[in-house]
Amino acid sequence: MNVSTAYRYTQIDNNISAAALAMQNAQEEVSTGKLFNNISQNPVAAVTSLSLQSLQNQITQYNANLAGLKSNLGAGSSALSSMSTLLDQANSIAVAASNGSQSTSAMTAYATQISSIEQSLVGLANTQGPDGQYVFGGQKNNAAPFTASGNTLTFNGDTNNVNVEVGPGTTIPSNVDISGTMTTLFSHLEALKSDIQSGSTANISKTDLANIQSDINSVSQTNGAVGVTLDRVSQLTSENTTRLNDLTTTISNTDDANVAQAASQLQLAQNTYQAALSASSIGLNLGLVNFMPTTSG
Amino acid sequence: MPGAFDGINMATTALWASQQELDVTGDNVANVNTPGYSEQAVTVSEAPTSTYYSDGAQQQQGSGVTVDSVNRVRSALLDAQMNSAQSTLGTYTSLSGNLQQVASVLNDTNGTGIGNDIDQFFNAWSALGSNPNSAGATTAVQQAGLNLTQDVQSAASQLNQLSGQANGQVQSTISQVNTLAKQIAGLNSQIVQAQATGESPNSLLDQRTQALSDLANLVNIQTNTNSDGSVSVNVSQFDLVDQGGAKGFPTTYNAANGTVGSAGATISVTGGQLSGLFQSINAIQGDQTQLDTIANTLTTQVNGLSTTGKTSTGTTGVNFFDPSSTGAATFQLSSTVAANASSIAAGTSGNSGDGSLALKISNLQSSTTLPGLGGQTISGYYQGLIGQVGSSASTYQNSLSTQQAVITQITGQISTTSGVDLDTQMADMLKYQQSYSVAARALSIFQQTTEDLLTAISGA
Repeated sequence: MNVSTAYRYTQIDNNISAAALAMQNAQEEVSTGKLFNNISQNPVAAVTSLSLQSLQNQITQYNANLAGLKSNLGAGSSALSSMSTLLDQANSIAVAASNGSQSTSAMTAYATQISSIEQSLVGLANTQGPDGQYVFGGQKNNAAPFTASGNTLTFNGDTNNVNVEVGPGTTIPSNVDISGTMTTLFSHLEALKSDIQSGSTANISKTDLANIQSDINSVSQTNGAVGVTLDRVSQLTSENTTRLNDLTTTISNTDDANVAQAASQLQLAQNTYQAALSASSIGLNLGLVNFMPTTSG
Repeated sequence: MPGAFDGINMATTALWASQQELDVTGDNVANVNTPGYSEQAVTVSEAPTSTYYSDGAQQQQGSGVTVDSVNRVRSALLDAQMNSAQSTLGTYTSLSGNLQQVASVLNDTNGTGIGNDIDQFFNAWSALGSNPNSAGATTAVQQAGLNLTQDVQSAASQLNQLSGQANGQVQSTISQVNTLAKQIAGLNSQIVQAQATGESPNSLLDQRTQALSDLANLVNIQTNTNSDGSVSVNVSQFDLVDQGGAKGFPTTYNAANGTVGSAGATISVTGGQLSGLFQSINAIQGDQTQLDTIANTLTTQVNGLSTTGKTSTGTTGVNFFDPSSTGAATFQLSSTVAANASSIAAGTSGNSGDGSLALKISNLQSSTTLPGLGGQTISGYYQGLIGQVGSSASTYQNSLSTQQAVITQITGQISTTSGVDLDTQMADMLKYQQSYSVAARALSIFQQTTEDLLTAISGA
């Protein structure tokens, strides 16, 4: 069969180009560590990777939101714990004041202590979160929600929730509504103070002690609810972290080259390229003309 | 009776034939790398014999060799196969080249493309909704919106550029089609003239074969060889070249319909680079439309919510994206939002802790009921676009490789028939050189014999 010289050279050229291209691809895979660097190299994997990355981005954001939520609720929870402690103190004072054998000066001191407890409680009810927002103010959270003036407590906030997105369409409020509890306990403490001042020990033991006990319960119930939410926040955060780790692995499996395999493929491609070059140089040197006498007769 | 000089005549014809064979071999060697050159071969036959009577019987004697013709070795069937394969190759060449560029524009593989921008945009709203008091969160929403609009705009403008390039290529391809048509018509008339005088216009035929193959690469053609030696060329029933010469191929075109020519006289283009360019333009157009859909959906949906918002300072009715933008090319933040991040409302009540609106906007990310997206989320729709762009580029790249292999195979077949093999030519050259030497030696012997005869006669 006749094989034209030009065609033979073209074929050699094609073979070398193909070997060079294979080597270039293998080199790219090794140097970038990725299985594909262009969506056309593996469209299915590219789209899979894109959607996994999108999921990863969303979950990362949910975790960031959860972290903010945790510090906000944490601030609320520790304020509520302090409130409980203060109410316990108020309870002790009420018990001491109710026994009817206290001197007038002691009773005055008790009343002063109750006033100071009231002030501390209002201070705690105006606790601010990490971004300066008032945790107990509802959506009106950029100004102190509670102001005590004389014997009345005013709530300036609202009872709307500040919702934090923790999943697709799922929210958890980052605020805690204590407006009712706070107003009630403030009025109870005012009544206690007035009974101490007037020495109405019967009222203290009959009504005020029971009221304060109920306030203690209601604050600890609220704190308990915050604790449950905080547990849920931790649980969600840990679930998300596990999912993020899984996603990172899956994305890596989709995107990343197996370095050992890629390196051995590169070696193979290099050998093929070298073989193509050396075979070509031998082939190119062959020709009848090389074996013919250079001069005639 | 044979003549005394018959031997000299015979040896002379042998010299002529060998000389011509050596010339043709030399020509073949000279054109070993000429594209489209067909190997030429000298056809020789025995010269007419002369008849004489000797010893009462009829005797025959040869009178040497005659050179009949110098033929080009060519298979019309392979040429037709090559033309058809070239048309397909042309289509895939332009499709693969153009769509590969589209894939580079939308090459979202390292998590920094539009897909990531969309995620970060909605994440910023989620962060703002979850923490409406944070000024940083508002700025982050503005920044994420800016990144998204800039990247979408940049992709749109690059696609637009690619589309412009492809349209430019259409113009130059049509002009090349016309140039080749004129060249073929010119070769036709030279070939007709030459053949009328009995010549074999081999090099003209080679040039025409090459021109037809080049033309087939540009546009789908059908050829028909006429009795006078000319070739007629049709493009979908349109006579591009006939015995009268080349007709102008229309420069107006409609890429969407895949036709050239104006209404009423359209020619459908079904192959060659031109067809590939039309398909590329349509594919780019389709990608642009999808990118426009993403931009328009974001503008409509986000503005629909953002205009119901109220900031803590009482600002209301703010469009987040520029509502006058139409499509991806003009997708941008509204001037209010671009100028001032604090005009972005997180809620509708004006309360500093109201993040309800921001959360609604964040929820758009997972909505599968947004109109125009075919039941997909915005990210899903975008991923669909990327998948489509990637797989078209990949498909046509594979088709191109396959077609290149087909061309290589046909080239191999043509080469087997028509290509010049230097080794064969060298061997032939030795053969013809030997023939020439032997003929020259014979001539010299005939001359010696004749001289001996003359000496004998004059010596008597």
